[in-house]
Amino acid sequence: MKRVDIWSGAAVCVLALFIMFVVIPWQIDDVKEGYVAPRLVPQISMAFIVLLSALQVFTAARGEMQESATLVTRAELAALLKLSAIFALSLILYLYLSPLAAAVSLLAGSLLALGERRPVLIAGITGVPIFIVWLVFYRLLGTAIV
Amino acid sequence: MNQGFPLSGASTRRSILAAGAAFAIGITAFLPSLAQADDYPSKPITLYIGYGPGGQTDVVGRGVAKVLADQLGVPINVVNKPGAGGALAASQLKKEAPDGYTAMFHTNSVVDADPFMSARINFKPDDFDYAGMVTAFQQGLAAPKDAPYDSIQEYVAWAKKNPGSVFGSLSPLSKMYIDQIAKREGLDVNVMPLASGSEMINALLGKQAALVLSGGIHYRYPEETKTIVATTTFRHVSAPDVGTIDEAGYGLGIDARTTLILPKGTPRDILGKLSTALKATETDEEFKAIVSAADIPIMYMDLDQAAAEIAKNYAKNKAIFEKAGIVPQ
Amino acid sequence: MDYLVAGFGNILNFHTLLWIVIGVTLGYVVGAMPGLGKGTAVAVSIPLTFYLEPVSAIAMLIGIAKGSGAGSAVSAILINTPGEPSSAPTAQDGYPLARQGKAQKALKMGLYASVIGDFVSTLILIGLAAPLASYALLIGPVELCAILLFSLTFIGGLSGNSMIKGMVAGAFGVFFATVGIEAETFVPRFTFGLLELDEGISLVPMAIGMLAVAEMVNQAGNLAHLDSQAAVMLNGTTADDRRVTGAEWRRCLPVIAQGSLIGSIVGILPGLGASVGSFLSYGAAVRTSKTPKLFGTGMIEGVAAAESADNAVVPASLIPLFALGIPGSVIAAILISALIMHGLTPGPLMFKQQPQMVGDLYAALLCASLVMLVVGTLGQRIFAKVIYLPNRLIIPVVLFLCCLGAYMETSSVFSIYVMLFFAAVGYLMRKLDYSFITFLIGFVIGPKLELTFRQSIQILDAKVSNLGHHPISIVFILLTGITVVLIARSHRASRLLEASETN
Repeated sequence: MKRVDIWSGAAVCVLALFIMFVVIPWQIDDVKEGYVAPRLVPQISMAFIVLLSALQVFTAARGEMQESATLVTRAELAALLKLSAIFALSLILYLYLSPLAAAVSLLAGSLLALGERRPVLIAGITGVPIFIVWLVFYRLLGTAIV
Repeated sequence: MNQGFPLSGASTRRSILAAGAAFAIGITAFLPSLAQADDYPSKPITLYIGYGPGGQTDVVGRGVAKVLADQLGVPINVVNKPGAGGALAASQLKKEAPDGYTAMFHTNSVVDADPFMSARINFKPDDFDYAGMVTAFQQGLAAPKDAPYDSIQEYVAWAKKNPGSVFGSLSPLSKMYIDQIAKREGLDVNVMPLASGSEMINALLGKQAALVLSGGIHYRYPEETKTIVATTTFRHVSAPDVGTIDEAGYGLGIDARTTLILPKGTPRDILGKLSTALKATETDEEFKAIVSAADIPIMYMDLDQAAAEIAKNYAKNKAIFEKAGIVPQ
Repeated sequence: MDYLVAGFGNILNFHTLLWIVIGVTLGYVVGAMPGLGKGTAVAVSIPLTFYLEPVSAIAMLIGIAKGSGAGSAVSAILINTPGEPSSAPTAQDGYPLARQGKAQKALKMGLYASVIGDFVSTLILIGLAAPLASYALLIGPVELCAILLFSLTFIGGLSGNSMIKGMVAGAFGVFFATVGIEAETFVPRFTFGLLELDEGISLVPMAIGMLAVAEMVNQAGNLAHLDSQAAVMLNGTTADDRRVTGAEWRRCLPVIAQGSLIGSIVGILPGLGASVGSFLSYGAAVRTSKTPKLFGTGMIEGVAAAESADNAVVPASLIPLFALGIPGSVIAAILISALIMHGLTPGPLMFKQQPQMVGDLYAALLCASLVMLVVGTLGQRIFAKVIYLPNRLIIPVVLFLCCLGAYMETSSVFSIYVMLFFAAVGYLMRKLDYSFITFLIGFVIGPKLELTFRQSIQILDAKVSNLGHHPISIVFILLTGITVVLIARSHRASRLLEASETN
């Protein structure tokens, strides 16, 4: 059993309790008698999760502790942050400038973030997919995407 | 073959450039329109359909788009924007520029009935302009062919003798119908939820439901299903002998007509041009073949008739839903 | 039968064949691109079908449906990003095989299994459509509810290393599927005031986020490792790694037969879909295998099981369409509108009014199976090269395609938000070792189970005794009970085995 199982189980357990007692009553209205309650299925799934996560924490705590490898390596964390930033930038560009700008920033941005430095490749891998999409949807089919 | 593609044959060089420019800059939607009503239309028109591809409204809408493209001489780009029964597409349309280049093809129910059922809908019929109506769906209560009742009166008598019979409900509207009938006649009916039109047909053909509210697709199965009452204000073309729910004295007749909806403030000249182009659906052979295969009669209305119809329906639906005690959720 | 023969005569001309080839190729290419799938292909094809002859239009749509089913295995195997959720089980064993330098073997097996499953199912459609469809009508909500319960328990055991975490993930899948307007009471659930959530979380952007985007982010963090692996893969392949050996064929044929049958049955039943088919078939292959522990590490049978069922679902889902006029899938619904657009009325009347039309369609279906084999064989040679490209070039394009595919599902940026949300969830689940397969199963089966349960209560008038009128459902309830006992036993047995091994 890994140490990470203890805290992930505990976190999931707390999350499920929060959903069960806060989110469900807040987001699902109660209805009059005579129906299967709309809250029933979400409540069952959350109760199930609470029980199982508690069981997970319990068995993990009882078992022998193993030193597990690092959960997220430094490289993984860097990639996650970089790509998240690129998605955020692309969304902002999409919403406030244009879909084309968003597409360019997504393709060229992630190429740069992943370490590609050759200008020809960056231009090609950015330009070709965008050109194909434009050709198919705007020219050939006339179902403008935006 | 190529001439069939919306953008290659019929379009002018200018509209290609316009489409290219629209993509290259991609901000046309954010700029105030500079288009004049005189030379309208001078670029492709975007037509929203509030359902995914493959449904009845989608089929009619694509047929209409083709007729409009032929009439107006510019391509019509059909964009499916499904969600919340069309309310999502309508919310989006409300924000578009009223220049006649963005329109929506949908049943009138989205503006004159849905606001009474969903509290999260933030528009009213007055928030849009209407260029006309094309077809009317043959909505009615349908039953398996061998069911021992042929009219709403006979159904009520049968349901009284058979408590716990099953009604298949596809929408808040169909639930409203059975609730109203059951309340008035003192029936004990089990309302079974259905998730889709095909599930509804399944329930009829498999005889799991004794009655359903159908949007008209059951007419495709004349050997297995029958209509016992039309819930529209008119008798159905496909079943002229079956009475309407208003004739039976319930006062619940609600029409669903496919309507060309535009953002509020669209110049009347543009609406007029669209309305005239829409009238061609009455004579277009290809369009007639499509709707007759789908059992959807053409009942054209021009822009003024359409606006009046929407206002009338809105008032009538308001009365029906208030009487039924339905609060928007 | 005469009509079928005449149908071959009608479609074996350059024009119709061309559109079948275009359809299959388009479906295959789109299916092979991560993030894009049937939905995209359909959106692309609808405007086209308007302008074609009925038979060409429908042949093309059928080609797309079949081609995308086979194509989705390619990205699942090569870069671990299933094009569609139904190919998620394919990736379980296909990707490990690819990383062992056996990509071509896995791709070939996937294609052959796809074609066989598709062909068997097409034959069932042609031979048995009418009688099967009338039996399918006997499967009402009560029966379906019992079948879903059985499916859920049967597949539920597939949670990989950790049973508890797998079940937690499955429960979360069921939970997320409850978002939207509840169909019986019309009460909104977890919509947070957003109209966009009224119809629930859409499967396509959710699956794209969880399966493709999360995987790409994960791979982006391990570029060096993956690139060094690729270098080894280049050198280390033998001839046997590039083809399916005789011994593997013998092991896989029973699995493929089983998968084709499961896929066909799932296809006929209303509203289950290709994901349920491939998950069930994969589950059955694990259960009947002598070495269930090895699944997930590169068992060729896993690929065969998932792909044969995935593709068998497509023709079988046309059975209710042809025999009854009821669409059994999205593609079938599009086919109906394509028929209507050409003034034809789909359904049983078609057999009486346009028997030659039906004959033509059947001929086109069979033709598309063979075209799929050819297109797939050629396509693989090209796509297999992808694996030699450095990941830093693949990832940006995949992310772009994911955004495109998610966006096109609803033509709204909201789908992108859904995709990103589930990309984050999927990334966490990968890091914490929660199975996203069981999450998907819960998400796909959960809402149908709830709906059929509600329907059953109304049909049975809330009395258990009325179950007596539904013998099929009783059979499946009993089967569910047996499965639970068997899973519990095998679980305990493997625990004991592990305990004795460690001692």
